[in-house]
Amino acid sequence: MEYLIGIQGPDFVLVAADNVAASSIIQMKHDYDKMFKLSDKILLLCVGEAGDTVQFAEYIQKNVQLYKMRNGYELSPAAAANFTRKNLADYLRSRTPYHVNLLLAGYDETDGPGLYYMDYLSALAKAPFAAHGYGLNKRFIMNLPSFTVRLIDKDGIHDMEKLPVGPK
Amino acid sequence: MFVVSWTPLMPPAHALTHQMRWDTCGGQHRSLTEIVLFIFFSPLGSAAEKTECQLFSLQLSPVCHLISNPFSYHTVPQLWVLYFGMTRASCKGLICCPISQKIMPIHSHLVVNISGSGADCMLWERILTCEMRLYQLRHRKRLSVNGAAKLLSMMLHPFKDQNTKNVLSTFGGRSGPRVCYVCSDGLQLKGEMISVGSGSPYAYAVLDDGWRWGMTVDEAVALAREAVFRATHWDAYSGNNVDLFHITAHGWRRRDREDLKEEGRKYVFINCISTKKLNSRQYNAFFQINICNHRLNKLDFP
Repeated sequence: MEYLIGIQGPDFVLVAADNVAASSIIQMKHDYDKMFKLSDKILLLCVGEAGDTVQFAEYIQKNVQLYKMRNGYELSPAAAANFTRKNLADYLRSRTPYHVNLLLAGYDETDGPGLYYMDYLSALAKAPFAAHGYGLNKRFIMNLPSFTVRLIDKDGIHDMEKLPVGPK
Repeated sequence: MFVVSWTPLMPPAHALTHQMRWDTCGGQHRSLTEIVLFIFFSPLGSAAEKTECQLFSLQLSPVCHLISNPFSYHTVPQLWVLYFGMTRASCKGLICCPISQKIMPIHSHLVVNISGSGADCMLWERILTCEMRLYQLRHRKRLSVNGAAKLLSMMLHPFKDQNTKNVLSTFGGRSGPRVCYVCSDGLQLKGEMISVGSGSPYAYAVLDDGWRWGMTVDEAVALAREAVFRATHWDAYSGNNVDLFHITAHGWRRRDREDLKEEGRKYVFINCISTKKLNSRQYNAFFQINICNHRLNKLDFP
C-alpha cells in the first residue's frame, strides 16, 4: 500500500511519499520516487494503479512545461491543480480511466503555499494537510521502510533527508 | 569462463533483418552501414513451437533474474550485467516445452527476458526488435537503455487490459549496465537486481542473501545458479535448464545451457557421504525426499 502526505505551513509545503514500488505482494524497489516535478515550485505526488501513475503524471508534467514554453510563464499551483482535475475528469468517463490518487503541492508568489488533494474520481480540494493511504507504522500489517521528504518554499523545491522508518 | 554457444531452437523472430552473429553472440561494435542477414533454420524447434503457440497460449512463468554490478575495485573497471532464467514453458498445468528460450538478445548490447503469457511476450519481443532497429537506422545511434524501456512501456500501455503479462528487460549499453523491468500494466522500474515470475520470491530469497556491490563475475554466476536451483526446486512452473547471459561493454556472451538438478543431487550426495552422515538406506531415503540444504559450488571435501 502506498502512502502520501502533505502539510502546508505559513510559507512552505512539506510533502512525503513512501519509496516502495511493488508488484502484487513483492517489493521490487525500495528507492522509488513518486514525486514528479511540474515546475520549479510545483510537485505532483502520484499513487495508484501501476502504469497509470507514471503515464498520467508524465502527461501532466509535459503539458505544464509546454504551457511555459508557449506562453513564457509558468502555471500557478491552483491552475495546475485545476488542469489536472479537468484531465482526470475527462478520462474518468472514457474507456480508459486513470486510477490515480494525487497530491499537488506548490508555492505561488501571490497566493503563497498551496496543497491540493485529488482523488481518482477527480475530486479536488485545497487543504492545509492531506494524505493518501495508510501511514501507520506500528499497527499496519505492511511495513513501509523509508520515505522521501521534500519541502517547497519561495526558493523552490528542497530535498530533505530520506527517512528510514524501521520496525520499532 | 563462458562457453559461447547458440541454441538451435530460436523463434522465427530472428529471421528478420537483424544484426546478430551465429557464434560469438554479437561481441563487437558494428557500424551502421553493415547489415548482415542471418536466417536460422531450425525446422524441428520452430515448427514445434509454432504449433504450440497456435493451439495453446504458452505460459512462460518462470523465474528471470538479473544482477547488475557496476565495477570491481581491483582490476580494470568492469561493468556487467548477469542475466539468467529458466527454460520451462507451461500450459494448463503441463510442461509445454522444457527447453524454450526466454532470454532473447535484441542487439549486441540489449537482452530481453520474458515472463508471463508466452505468445504475447514473443510478439512484443519482435516488435521491440523492429522498433529498435528502425530507431538505429533513422537516428544513426542506438536507442538508450531508458529510452528502450520507455518505448516498450508506451507500446504496452494500450494493451494493459488485455492479458499480456510481464515483460522483463535487461540492458547493458553505452550508458553503462542497466536493468529495467517493464510490465504490461505499465510499471516500469530501473533497479540493480530484479526477478520476475512465479518463482521470483524464492529467487529473491537467495539473491537478497548473497548479492552485494562489488561481486566478481564468478561469485555472481555461483549465486545465480544457486538462486535458480532453489526456485526450480520449490516452484512448479520453474524448472528444467538454466540460461545464463553475461553482458559487458563488448556485448553479450552466453553460457552453455545446463540442468542443475543432477548436479544438485550429486553435490548433496557427495557432501553427505564425505561427512559420513548417511548409510545406504538413508541415502535411498534421502534422494526420495530430495531435500537440499547445502549451497552449490562449494565442494569442500574433508
